[in-house]
Amino acid sequence: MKPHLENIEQILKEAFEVINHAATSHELEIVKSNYLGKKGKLTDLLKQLATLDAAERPKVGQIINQAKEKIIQALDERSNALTKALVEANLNQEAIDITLPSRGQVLGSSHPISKVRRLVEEFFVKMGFVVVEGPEIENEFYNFTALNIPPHHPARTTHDTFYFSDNTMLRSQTSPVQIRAMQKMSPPIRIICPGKVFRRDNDATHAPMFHQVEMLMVDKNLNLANLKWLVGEFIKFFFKEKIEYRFRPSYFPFTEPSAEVDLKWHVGDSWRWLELGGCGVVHPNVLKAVNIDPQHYRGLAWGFGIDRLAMIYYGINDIRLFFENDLQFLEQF
Amino acid sequence: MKFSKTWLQKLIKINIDTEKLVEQLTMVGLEVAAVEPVAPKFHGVVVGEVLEVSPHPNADKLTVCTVNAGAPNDKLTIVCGAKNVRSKLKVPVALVGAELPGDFKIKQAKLRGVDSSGMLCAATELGLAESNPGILELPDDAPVGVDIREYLSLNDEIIEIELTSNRGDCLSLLGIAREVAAINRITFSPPEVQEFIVINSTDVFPVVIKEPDACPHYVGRIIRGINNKVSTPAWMLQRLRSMNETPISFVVDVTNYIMYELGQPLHAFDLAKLNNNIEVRYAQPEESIELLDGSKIDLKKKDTLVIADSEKPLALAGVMGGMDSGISLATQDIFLESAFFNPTKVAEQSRSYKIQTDSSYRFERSIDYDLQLYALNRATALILEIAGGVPGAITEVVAKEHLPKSLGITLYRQNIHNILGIAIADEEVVSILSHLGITLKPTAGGWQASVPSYRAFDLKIEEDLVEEIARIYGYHLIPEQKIVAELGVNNVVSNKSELDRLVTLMEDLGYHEAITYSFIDEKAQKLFGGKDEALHLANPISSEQTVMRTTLWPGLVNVVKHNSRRQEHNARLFEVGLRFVPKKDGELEQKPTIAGIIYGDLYPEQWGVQQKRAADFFDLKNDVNTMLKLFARDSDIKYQSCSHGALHPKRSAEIYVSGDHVGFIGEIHPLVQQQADLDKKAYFFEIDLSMLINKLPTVFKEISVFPKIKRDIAIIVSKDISWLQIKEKIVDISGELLHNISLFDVYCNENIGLDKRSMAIRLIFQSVSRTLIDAEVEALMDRIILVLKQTVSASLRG
Repeated sequence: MKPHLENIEQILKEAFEVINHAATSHELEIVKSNYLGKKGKLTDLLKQLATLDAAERPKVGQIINQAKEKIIQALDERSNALTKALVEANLNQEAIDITLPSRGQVLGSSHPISKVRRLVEEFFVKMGFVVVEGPEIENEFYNFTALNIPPHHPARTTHDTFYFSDNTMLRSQTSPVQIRAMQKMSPPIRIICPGKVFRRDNDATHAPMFHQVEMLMVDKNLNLANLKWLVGEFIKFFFKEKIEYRFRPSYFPFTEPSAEVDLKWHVGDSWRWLELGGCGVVHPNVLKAVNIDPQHYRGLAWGFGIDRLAMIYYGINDIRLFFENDLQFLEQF
Repeated sequence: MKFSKTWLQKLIKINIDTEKLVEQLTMVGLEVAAVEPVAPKFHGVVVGEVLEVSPHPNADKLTVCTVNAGAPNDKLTIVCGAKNVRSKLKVPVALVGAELPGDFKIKQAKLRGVDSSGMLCAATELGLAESNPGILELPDDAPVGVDIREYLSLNDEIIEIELTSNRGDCLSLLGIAREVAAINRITFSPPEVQEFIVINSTDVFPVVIKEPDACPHYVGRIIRGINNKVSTPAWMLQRLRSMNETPISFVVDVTNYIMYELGQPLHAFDLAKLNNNIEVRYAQPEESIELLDGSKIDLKKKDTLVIADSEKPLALAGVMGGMDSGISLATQDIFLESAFFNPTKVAEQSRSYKIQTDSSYRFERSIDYDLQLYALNRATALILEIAGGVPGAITEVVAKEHLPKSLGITLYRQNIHNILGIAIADEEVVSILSHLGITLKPTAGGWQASVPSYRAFDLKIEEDLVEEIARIYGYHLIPEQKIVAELGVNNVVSNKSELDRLVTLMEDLGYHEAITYSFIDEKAQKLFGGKDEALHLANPISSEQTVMRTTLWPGLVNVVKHNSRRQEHNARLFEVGLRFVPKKDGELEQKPTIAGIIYGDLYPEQWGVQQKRAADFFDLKNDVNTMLKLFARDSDIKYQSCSHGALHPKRSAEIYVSGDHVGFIGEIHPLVQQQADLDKKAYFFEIDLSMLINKLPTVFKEISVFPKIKRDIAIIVSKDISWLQIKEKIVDISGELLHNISLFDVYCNENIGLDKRSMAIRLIFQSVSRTLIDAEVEALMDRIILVLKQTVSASLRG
């Protein structure tokens, strides 16, 4: 029997029809088998090639093979289309509410005082300062004597300072760290000393424990104008905007000349000068106490309350909030 | 220090806005804390004289007064209800049209049928007092018709300055006037003493100073025959009131007045009550004294300086006088004292007897050591002028060697520039310092300066003078000047960046940072601190803050409880801070520590978590491990069971890193939980930060490209056998072929026996140098199983 080539067009037409109507991949498998399987219609035609003349065979074979390719291609296309339709149908099934809250552990927080302390440290470290810390329980020499605080200064009384014995106390400022550092280092010195300090006070603006940071620079040729610049640079860095500040003459036993740094800050409806902390040129007696020759070196020092700065910065009105550690408070930072 | 602006302007002729004055004072270092007007706003009130008082025809409690309030109001009819109204009394009269505080307008009125043209005023009605004792009675010499605001200086303002402790010289009007003069560069001289003649130069009272170092300068004089019943003049009363001083009697008022005006505390003794002489000496331990405020004190404290006569102590020197020798209205003869006491001595007495007075406050901050004679004479002149009397000659005892010294200070032009960063012209330097009373002699490089007695306490070195120049010149005129310095890395050893990393990690793990007090409640300390004997504060501020913490846990527990009270029942918290641990040798270690707590649920409330469950030991252990891995390899971290009083003995561990003890982890002991009043279990850790030095390897280990062989075994062992024991056995036997060991299931049930547990272990073997063959791994596994059977009685699960 000769292959009926004239039937090929008809076969193809039928095949496309069936393929395009197949609704599942299983149906496609059956179609594939009906046309290309062992007993498939095209396979039959190929089997009949043998009956042809040798000269005719290649030509007819090519025609049949082309038809086979077309069917395979149609099957693939339909198969892809069916898969795609199936996946797409599933996508809708898989819809989720992407606005539902996330799950798992949530981020904790740094205490606002730590945040402000790190920002302060960042400024000074960028300026080439080193962060140095020291003990909270101090002795008389470091906490008072070396700082040029006279024996009967009110700060030394049990009214103001927490004592353990006549000679040991909770440090009432971070300045003793400077003394300890200066004993170990030689100029040029650039250090900053953050830490807890303790004074016998307790109200909305004073806690018996609070945080201070003190910076100290000892070098040749330092002066009050340099200190003003450093303070100005810090304020610019910290507040990221231009805040007016002033140096106001003041008195501390460990600096001479001394100044209070005041910030012009919006309080309620008006602008007010808020005290930020004391600074000055280190008193020669303090340098002498740590064997630095005041003839050759001069020191600049500035200390301020981290808590106070945080209160100004975040608009917190009661220092006791810092130590209550209410989660509603902590979570904001 | 408070002062009246009007009083200041009596001392120094200057016309200045209050606002400007406040700014000036603040910017030279005398910070103004407050400005208060002495009286509220009102007008239309003048001094009047009551001419006649007659009863009101229609009211028992009212009177009808005829009042002269100055032309054209020289015959006003005013109805008055006060009891103290009487003829010839000088009173404040609010005229028709006057406006009193509280929007009270005075109008022509008819009171019970009698016309009344104005009102006689009480102090309360003018806002000058709180309570109302009737019509304000003015002195007989009050000038009729003069505006009461002018007469009583009510347009005045009280300026309060916060003085720094070095400026004792400004605890007087005189001191502030000097400062104002210097700021405005005007010349100023202290008030002159009116001349008087000492008639009886032999009328002296002997003075013996036994402690010249405590009292280096003492002057005194007798004044006889004074009239202490005389009323204190209005101008003086006004000024005393402006200092919140209550008038007492004329002589006492004068001594107070001089203290405020000049800064010299004075004391007046009733001469009739003194025996033989004045002695300035230390009290005998058995002596006592009744002070002017009525308190009786035993003079037991060591070296208590007293003013005494030959018999007994009369006054606590520099602090307060005694009751017995005090002045009364009947006093006629007085002995007036003006002394300089050693500031340290007065500070000591004031503190040890816990008495602070205006006098001790001034002596402590050091008064002018050259002021005593002048102040005594000024007081004498005022007393003689007003109360009469005959002054005796002055007795003066001085021990120059114990007086403060006004040092000569060498001031170099170049140093002014070096310290301030700017050059200040010579004329400016000279102008500023001389206006501050400092005398200057030019030298080659600058000046030789000599400091006046009233600044001797404060100005001692060149830097002090430079500060004086700068503050009067104006700190605001000193420019910002960039710092030029040498670069260099400082070799301070610090684990700052590691610590910051650790804190960031804790935050990422969901912990909130808390900061709690270093001093805590003793009970909580005992509960959580175990055996550690905590250090006690000698003067705690609260009974809940008495000891130094040896652990951070009590602080964190307090935070948990605070939040529970505010309906927040879950918490993950950490804190970084010092612990204060006494060592056996009595020394104290101040240890930088990180501690944390998990309380309540593992996760915040959320949807879809399969098991909403409480956090447990292993949740915390994972966080602690994560922290420790910043510093050490997993294999260097060890947990060993421990006994820590605050922790569950079977659910707690000591933590070791590379063999060093670094801290604790565990569940709260059930009894501690009860005593701490916690509703739920808490899990704690505490780690010494100083031990967390980076121990991670700095050299890499070669990685293997050869295939891994995986083997699982499940064993049943007694519950007493720890995972660590099993793991160490396996690691030991396997040697370097063991690539990884993990535990993937642990359970316990009745089938295997409740005293046992089943553990499923996965072992992965790998060689760095060759492909392993099954046979050798099988041999290894057989050996492992055998050893586990022999050593820990493990049986294989079928």
